[in-house]
Amino acid sequence: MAADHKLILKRFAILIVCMFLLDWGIGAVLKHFYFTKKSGADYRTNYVINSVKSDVLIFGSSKAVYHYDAKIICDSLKLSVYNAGRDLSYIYYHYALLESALRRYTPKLVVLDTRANEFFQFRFNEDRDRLNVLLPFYDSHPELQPIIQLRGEYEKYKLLSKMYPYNSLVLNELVELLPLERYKKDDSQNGYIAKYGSWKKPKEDYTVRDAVDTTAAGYYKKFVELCKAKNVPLVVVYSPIYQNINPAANRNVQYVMQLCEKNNVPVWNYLTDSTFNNPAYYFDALHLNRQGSALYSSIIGGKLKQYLNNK
Amino acid sequence: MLFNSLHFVAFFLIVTPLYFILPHKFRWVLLLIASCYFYMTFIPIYILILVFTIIVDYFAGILIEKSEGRERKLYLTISLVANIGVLAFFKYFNFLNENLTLLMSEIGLRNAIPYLSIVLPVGLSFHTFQAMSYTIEVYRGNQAAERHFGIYSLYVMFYPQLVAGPIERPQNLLHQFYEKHPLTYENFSAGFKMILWGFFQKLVVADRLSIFVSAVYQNPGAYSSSMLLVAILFFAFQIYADFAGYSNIALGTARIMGYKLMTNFNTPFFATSVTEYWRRWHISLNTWFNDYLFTPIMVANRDWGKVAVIFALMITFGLSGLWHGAGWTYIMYGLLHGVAVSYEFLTKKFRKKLSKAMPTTLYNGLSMLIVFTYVCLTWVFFRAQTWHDAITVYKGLFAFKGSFFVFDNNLGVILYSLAGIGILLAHDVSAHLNHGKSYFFHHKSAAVRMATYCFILVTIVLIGVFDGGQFIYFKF
Repeated sequence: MAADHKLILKRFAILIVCMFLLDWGIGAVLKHFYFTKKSGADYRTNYVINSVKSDVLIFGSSKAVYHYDAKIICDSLKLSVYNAGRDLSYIYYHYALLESALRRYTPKLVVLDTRANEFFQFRFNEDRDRLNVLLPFYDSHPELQPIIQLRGEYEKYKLLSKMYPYNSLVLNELVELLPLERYKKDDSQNGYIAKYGSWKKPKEDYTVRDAVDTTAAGYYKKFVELCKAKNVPLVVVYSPIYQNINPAANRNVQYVMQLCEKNNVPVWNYLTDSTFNNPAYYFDALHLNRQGSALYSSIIGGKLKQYLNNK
Repeated sequence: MLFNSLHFVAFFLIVTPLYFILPHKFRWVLLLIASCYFYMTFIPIYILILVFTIIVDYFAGILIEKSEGRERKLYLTISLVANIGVLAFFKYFNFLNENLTLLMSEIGLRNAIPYLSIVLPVGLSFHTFQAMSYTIEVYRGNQAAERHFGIYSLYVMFYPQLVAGPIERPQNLLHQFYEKHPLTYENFSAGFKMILWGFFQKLVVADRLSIFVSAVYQNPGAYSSSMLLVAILFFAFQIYADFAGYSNIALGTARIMGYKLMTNFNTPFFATSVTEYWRRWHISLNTWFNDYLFTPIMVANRDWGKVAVIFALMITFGLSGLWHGAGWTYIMYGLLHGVAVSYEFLTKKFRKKLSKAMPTTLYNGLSMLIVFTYVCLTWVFFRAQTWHDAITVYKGLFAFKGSFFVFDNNLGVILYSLAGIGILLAHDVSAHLNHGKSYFFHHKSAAVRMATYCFILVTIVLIGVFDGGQFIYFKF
């Protein structure tokens, strides 16, 4: 019996030591690859959190990434512009990036592209799960910790592991090892990515539920208030979609309108703009293609210029 | 409390050492309290359902043993009615009501019975079936009625298998609560391996595959034939990894404390017939249906000859489908398996001749492929949310529509999924060839075993899905 107990303890101790060493070693290797990569969404997240110094920052999800051509807006404004949008990201992510960036410098303008279902109530908190892309910054950026902990009450314990921050990112790290030039340089133009092809299907009704997730709405409010507190001009924009929507009847949109009105933040609504009522401008029902985004960016660039001149 | 949560890890790390610290006579108390706590972390009030069935079955068992003739049958009937009544009320009431409404509307009548707005108690189908197996076995004289109320309660509520099985038999489990279980290296090692592999199955395979599968089944009409095919194949592995993962964690948790629960899965995808598949898949449920439903129906109608077997098979598989969920898609899923097993029963001689005329490896390989394909196709009814969705999947699959594969946004999910399936298959192939023991987990070299544990743990941390939901079978 005692021999059994000793054997269990011995083997268990060996396993713990092995796992500690592996966790530390593999975690260090993955960290190295993560923070030295030069392309992809992770690279751009790292760039916004640690390096960006652009005059204008654009935040949002995939609609921001594909709609705001930073170069066109830059040419209009004569200011440096970076598109900090990320596919499948939500307000928590935008707020986290804004908070990190504002700790380093003060941009001249912030644009927040907002979805018509910005505060969509996900059944299993999928929006908060997506904060996994911020895990590599947990140790080095204390300001991000409360946001990352929205993923779950046990997140801080999971993050005792050095490998865990790179969970589900390991494939991206392995790509770095491939001798492919396309992975060695940024695949975006200051964060903007062009989509090609045009939408062939007829215009359908916007059918997403518009119930408001109060936590998401709370972070949206924090985003607006943070800009206000740091005296950074903020513009909220609803970029175009190729769907029939009535913003006046949408609770998500109405919440944003009221919040922005209260905080003197302009809201530009292109959801029903007739200029973009053309499927040739779209890659899919929710995203503009290269042609559509060029037109949209030039319009937004001109309007932002006017807005800054009037400030 | 989900097995795949840190809450459970903490629970396990407290309960297991306490179990070994306590003297034997108090261990059942600890396990019972722990089991109550475990169950009450879901919806506390539902513990009253368990209390009700436990009280009924406990006294029914004693009264069955004490009485004779028709009285014995009466007590058994009371027990079965209580258990099936609870199951019917919580699980099937709305389904029956919905069908009654449809039926009445066909003849121009209106159904005034209101629908129930209640959440299905976790694992209801499992613990009621386990409770029923007790009274049936006492009735049949295979098991002495349990006099210790606490031990009997523990038989129904033992936390490792309370919410998703295995559905135990009293002959296998009850006596183990009276036995002393010292902490041994053999039990610890066996239990640890099962838990580790269970977590791998759940976190790396099942929850990863569910990302793709859920997206496709949410809107099946929007996907190309090839994507639907991938989703169908992935779901077969998802549900296997999900349920076998749960079973492994349950068996491992109990094994560390010295309890040997019945094996629930035995490399089912290597079955060479659908009949064999059901001997390898969810074994505890299928033996339950075999012992308490199929055999009695067949024996009662034995004068019918082969028809009795077919009749018993269709009833058993239809009800097995219904056991899984209150819906026609589940019943269809069961009936499709009933048809396959009946076909195999009727063509037994022909298939035997065919197997002799072909090289064994070729015959077995082809049989495995056919069985796997059939099983995958029947899972569509199981997974689809509605009958309409299931038909949409079948139509889309055989319409050969759309591009071959859309890599945008899917490549990572697919590659991680394939990595998980690859490791799962490597494990199962080695277990299949080695009498149920996988090559790496049971290697004679301690260093190889240690490397295997580390590899599995590292894989879990790096590509496991930690935000996944509950086990699929919890809802049954």
